[in-house]
Amino acid sequence: VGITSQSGSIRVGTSAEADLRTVSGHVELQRCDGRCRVFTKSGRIAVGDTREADISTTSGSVAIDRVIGTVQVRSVSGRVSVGSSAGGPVTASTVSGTITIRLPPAVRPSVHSAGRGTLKSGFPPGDDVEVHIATVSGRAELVAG
Amino acid sequence: MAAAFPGGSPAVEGTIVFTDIVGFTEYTAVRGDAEALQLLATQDRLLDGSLPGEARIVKEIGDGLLLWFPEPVAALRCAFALHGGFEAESASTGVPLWIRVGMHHGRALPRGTDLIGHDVNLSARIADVAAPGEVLASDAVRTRIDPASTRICFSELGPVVMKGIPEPVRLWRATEC
Repeated sequence: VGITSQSGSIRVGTSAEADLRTVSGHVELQRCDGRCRVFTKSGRIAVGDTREADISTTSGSVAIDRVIGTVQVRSVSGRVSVGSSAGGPVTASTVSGTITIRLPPAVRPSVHSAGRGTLKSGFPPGDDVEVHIATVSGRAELVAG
Repeated sequence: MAAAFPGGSPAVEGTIVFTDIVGFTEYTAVRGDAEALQLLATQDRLLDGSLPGEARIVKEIGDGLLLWFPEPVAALRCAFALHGGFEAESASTGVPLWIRVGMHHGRALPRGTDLIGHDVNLSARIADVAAPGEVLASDAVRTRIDPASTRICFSELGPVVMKGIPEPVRLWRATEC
């Protein structure tokens, strides 16, 4: 499904693949069995379960319950929360927002961080999943969940 | 520096491109004015290296640009080069930097160094719905491109209703393939 709106909000139940974008509205996608791509300028983004996710927002918040595979999130100032099954690399970037990545408790991620922000991780290092975090002044945290 | 279109010229046909540095306001707030200025200098440098001779910087709009190209292949190649340049800057500085680009091929009326018209407004609206790191193009751009010879590919977003534009517009995401 592909929907683009200037100001309206978008709500989608289950989709094989999705490209959803709105300038000022919100986006809610309950489930995506393939790749989902979502963009808002200022609206919040809520995604349930998805296989792959490519999410961008300027000032909206991003909440992804669970991504099975690759996930990439670009945010300027919003709050980002991503649940990953550690089945693919996790990339999250923000200028001044906060990033929370939830990973399975037993996972040993390979964490790469860039920028001047702060990163907190309680996981032992390993190579189970690649996690890339970039922040200019934001905060990032990897938590079990 | 913006260059004037030929004096007294009627409507000019070409590819009209809007670019925007995503998060420039926030970047300036957290890194300061001097670094923001450096970022714009970086954009200028990247543009200098990718703008063909016959293209024009119509105007700078804060951190954004209005560019004009006589044909869309050069416009797309320039957009991809800018994206690549910003990605390389991000990788080397560790600072997340993206631009987004929208373009449309049509006609516009010169007004001094500026361009005026519906097709300019449409191009700006297309840039509005481009995500960070994306190049979006209208059908008028796509139909002038031969993917096989240019190695430029398009995936459709579908018809999009845009503010102030009476008819839905077919939009395409352009990528190098």
